[in-house]
Amino acid sequence: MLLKGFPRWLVALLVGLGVLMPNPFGLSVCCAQEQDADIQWALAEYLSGRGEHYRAITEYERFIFYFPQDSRVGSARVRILESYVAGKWWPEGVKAAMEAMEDPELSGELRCRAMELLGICHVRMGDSGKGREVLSSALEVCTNPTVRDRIRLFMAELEAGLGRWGAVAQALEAVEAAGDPGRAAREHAAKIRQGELSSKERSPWTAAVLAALFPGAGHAYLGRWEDAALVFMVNGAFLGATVEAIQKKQPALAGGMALAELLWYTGNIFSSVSNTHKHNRQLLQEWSRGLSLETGLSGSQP
Amino acid sequence: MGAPPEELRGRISSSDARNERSPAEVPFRFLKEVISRVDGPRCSMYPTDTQFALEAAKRHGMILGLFFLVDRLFHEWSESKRAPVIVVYGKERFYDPLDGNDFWLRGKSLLEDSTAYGFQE
Repeated sequence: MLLKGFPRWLVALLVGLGVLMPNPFGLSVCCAQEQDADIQWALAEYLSGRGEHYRAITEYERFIFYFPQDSRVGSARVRILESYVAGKWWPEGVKAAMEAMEDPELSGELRCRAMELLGICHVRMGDSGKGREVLSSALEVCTNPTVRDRIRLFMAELEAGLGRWGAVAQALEAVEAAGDPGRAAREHAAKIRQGELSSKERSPWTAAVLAALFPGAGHAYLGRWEDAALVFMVNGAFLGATVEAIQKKQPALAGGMALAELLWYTGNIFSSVSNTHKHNRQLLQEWSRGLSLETGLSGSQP
Repeated sequence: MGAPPEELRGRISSSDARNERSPAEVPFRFLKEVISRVDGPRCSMYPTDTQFALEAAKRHGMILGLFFLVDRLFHEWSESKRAPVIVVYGKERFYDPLDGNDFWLRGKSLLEDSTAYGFQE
């Protein structure tokens, strides 16, 4: 017998302890917990991968709640933030970023990512000043050159949207990447310094003045020739009808036609201004897409 | 975390907007629900001109709603060569939403305006 020689009371005590404390050394609990954490993490990652951001956020939060000591808690906080950003949920993204950055154990890389996304959230919420401030701080904190370049690209696009071409060129010139991406960024910066993009922009004031002087000229200024012809014909027809009604001494008809012509005329000015803004935005969007493609970095859609 | 996800939020806000009817919408609603029905569904754009004007009136009031309608009528021809094509109710239409036209009135720059990349994502 193996237990021969042991006092019976000691055997009984050990067996009893075994019954009362099924896991006296905590070994299997530890492994089961790790397994549970892995399963929980995998579920959150799966949902995130499927683009179900809202459900993923819930699962990451569950992960943080159940496994607060796990080494992936910091990553879970940043994943929550990324999910909010992917779902375009900017105010919640700011809150999630602040929460993540309050974690003293957050690694440098994750802190950098949180700052990058916080800056993006501020910009998307319409606070470019604060966004620029946060992103500049992120550039100081981040050590990964790819991330730093991504932030610079976003800042370049931000400044382009505000028409600050000097700042756009400056951001692009600072891109650290070697090879084709770096070369592409510097080429874009050089083109901007030469005024290639700003020269293609159109002035809403010029469009308005041209449209006021000659209906259709505002649209022609934008290269919208078909629209220009339509605007010219409609305005010409109603103006002609008004003049004809006056000549034929039809005051009621002349008044109605004049009123309609007034609408077409003012609408022509409004349309010129609106389409100028649209033209400038399309120009920026195309440039931004080209920049992302050529550098292989996407600043605006991280 | 009590707020609903983005797609649900869109639905809620549009249904809320449907319940709120301002006097500015009346002429555009008449245009959409009476004149357009007689005239027939021939608009090649999405949203249709009357729906576009109705949305503009809801957002900016009757005067600007009217200007946006005139703008839509004037720029339709050129826009059909520039706008992305989408299929709505089995028919191809040119996508020209109000968000893509009134951003400058909302004072938003390209990245500040979260709708700027909307249809691409």
